[in-house]
Amino acid sequence: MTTAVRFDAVNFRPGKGFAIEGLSLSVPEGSIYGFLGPNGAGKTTTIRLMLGLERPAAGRIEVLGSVMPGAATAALARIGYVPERPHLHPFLTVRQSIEFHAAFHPRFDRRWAAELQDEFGLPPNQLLNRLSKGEMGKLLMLQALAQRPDLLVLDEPTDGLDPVVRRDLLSALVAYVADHGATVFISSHLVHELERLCDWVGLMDGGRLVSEMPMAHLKDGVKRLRLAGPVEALANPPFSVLSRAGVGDAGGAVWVVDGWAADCGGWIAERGVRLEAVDDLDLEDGFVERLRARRAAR
Amino acid sequence: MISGPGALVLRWLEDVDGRSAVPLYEQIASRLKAAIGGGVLSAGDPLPSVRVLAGELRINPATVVQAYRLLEADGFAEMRQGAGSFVRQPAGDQRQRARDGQARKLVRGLLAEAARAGLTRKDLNRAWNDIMEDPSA
Amino acid sequence: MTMLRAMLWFHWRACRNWIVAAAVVAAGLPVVSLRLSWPRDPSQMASFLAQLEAWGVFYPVAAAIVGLVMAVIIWQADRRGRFVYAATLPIERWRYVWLRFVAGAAWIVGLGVVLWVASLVALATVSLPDTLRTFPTVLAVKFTLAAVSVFAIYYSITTLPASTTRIASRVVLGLVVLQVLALLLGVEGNWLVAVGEALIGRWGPLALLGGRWMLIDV
Repeated sequence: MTTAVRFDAVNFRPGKGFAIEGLSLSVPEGSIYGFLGPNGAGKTTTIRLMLGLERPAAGRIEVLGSVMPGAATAALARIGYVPERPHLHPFLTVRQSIEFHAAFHPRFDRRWAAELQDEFGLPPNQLLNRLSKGEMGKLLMLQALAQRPDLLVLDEPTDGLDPVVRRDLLSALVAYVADHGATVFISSHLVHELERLCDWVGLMDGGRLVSEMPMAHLKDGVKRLRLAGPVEALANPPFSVLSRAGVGDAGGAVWVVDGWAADCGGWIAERGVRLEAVDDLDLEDGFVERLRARRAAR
Repeated sequence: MISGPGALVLRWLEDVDGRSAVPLYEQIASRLKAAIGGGVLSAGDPLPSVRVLAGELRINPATVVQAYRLLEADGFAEMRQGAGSFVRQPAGDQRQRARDGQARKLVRGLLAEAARAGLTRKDLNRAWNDIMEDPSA
Repeated sequence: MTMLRAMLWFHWRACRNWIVAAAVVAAGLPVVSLRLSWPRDPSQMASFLAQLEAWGVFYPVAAAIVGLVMAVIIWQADRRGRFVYAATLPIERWRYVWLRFVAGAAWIVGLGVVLWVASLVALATVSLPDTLRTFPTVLAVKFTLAAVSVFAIYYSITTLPASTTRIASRVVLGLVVLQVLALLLGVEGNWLVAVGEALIGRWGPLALLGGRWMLIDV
């Protein structure tokens, strides 16, 4: 499997107090990679490193075969980027901003840009400082997509936008991916939004990667168990326990576990504990449980 | 935006649930099977392209491909190279099986919800009979 | 070429009010200065030249303002977005700076052309005695070069790494403070003036701003 983005043991300290430490991650080519984490986890800093805007203190970053930030120019020609905060020039009109962007991107597709502009209902002669937040979000996505990139790096692309706009943006993104098979790296703290979209997830917290895995694994392996009986008997289980909580006085307990497999039920029954329920966790619950487990371990 | 059978398909799929334990591609495939089995879609109707369906539902295109492959494997669709995917009418008993499967799933969901709300079979049966007699009850 | 065209257009959008204002000044300065200095009586030709020389101060001032304002606006445009947009364009940094510079210089050259045409027009309205010579081209070229060099110097200072700029501005600030202290303590010498003279002196980087700026001279 080829990787579109690879970080190897990257260290970086953007300022006092916060640091990215030993960050390793790999984004498979063609995947839609959801990059999750609470605010302040280091998602935007990671993205800045990925784009070659910062130079890591240690470690190696490779994006689309180019080592960053040294070979950033070659990589940037193939990367569409939507920043968390709009970075376009406010004194340009929509059409002028698109034209300026097109002049620097060799693969820019003007015709499709015009179609998207219609579809998004962007007024071509409106100055950017007069655009609503939603319109600005659409313009940023339009410019990134019309570059025809091999990698889309999206930093909270829908943060603060209303549901209708979010829907339009994601639809356009998905249509592009269906046509061109691009890799998408999308950071968000809106976990629910990524649930249907991503096939890989990375969880970030406090400047470190908590875990990275295919979405299917996250959904399959993490379960919430309702147990009754002598749960102390469950030592060295064939799965890892992310969190445990007691329920009632009768020795009941709720465990959140990772690495659950069908035969684990038998293992529990052998130890005289009754398995009352095995619930699936959605992405958000899985995410919260993993963060909690990591923070408790520290 | 989309009309014809495509729009119908979308209406059937709008509320697929990313949080459900049933994988998305299975949800899509089983709904489409029910639609085909129930005659909402008939043989030869085009299925929406991967691009359109994934875009409208905002799901991973790979998920749609997976769903269509499953449909094809079960004889409900065929993928024609370069032309897209089209509905195939499976044999009668298979069609019935798809309908049965969909109906069972509905009932199972209802039972699970009832259990959570503390309702018994008896409560449900009574409600069922009442509504059958007088749909406005 | 498309990049340069885009950049020219960008500068127009960013500075168009200033460019228009500067064009009005460039067009007006030769005409107005000549009209107001022109004597009613041919015997006052000597005082005419003195008046015209007094007007000449406005050319370097205008050139310096044009160069400075252009550089500040263009730099501010990138700074506002914390340089993220510029830094994520697929183009080497030196090429980007170069494009910015060439596009800025091109607009200044345009202003120089305006000044040149206006000078020719102004000269056509008067009939000069044979003893006087006209320098419309020299004046326009000098104006253009002076404005471009101010623009280039200021723009290169702003594109230096932030740390370098910080150190440089501290040194300058330190000198100013020392000078003020020296003045308060009654110490002889004024090195700020000396520095200024060195900058616009014969071999200084801003030499073009110094000297006489005459449309008409002997």
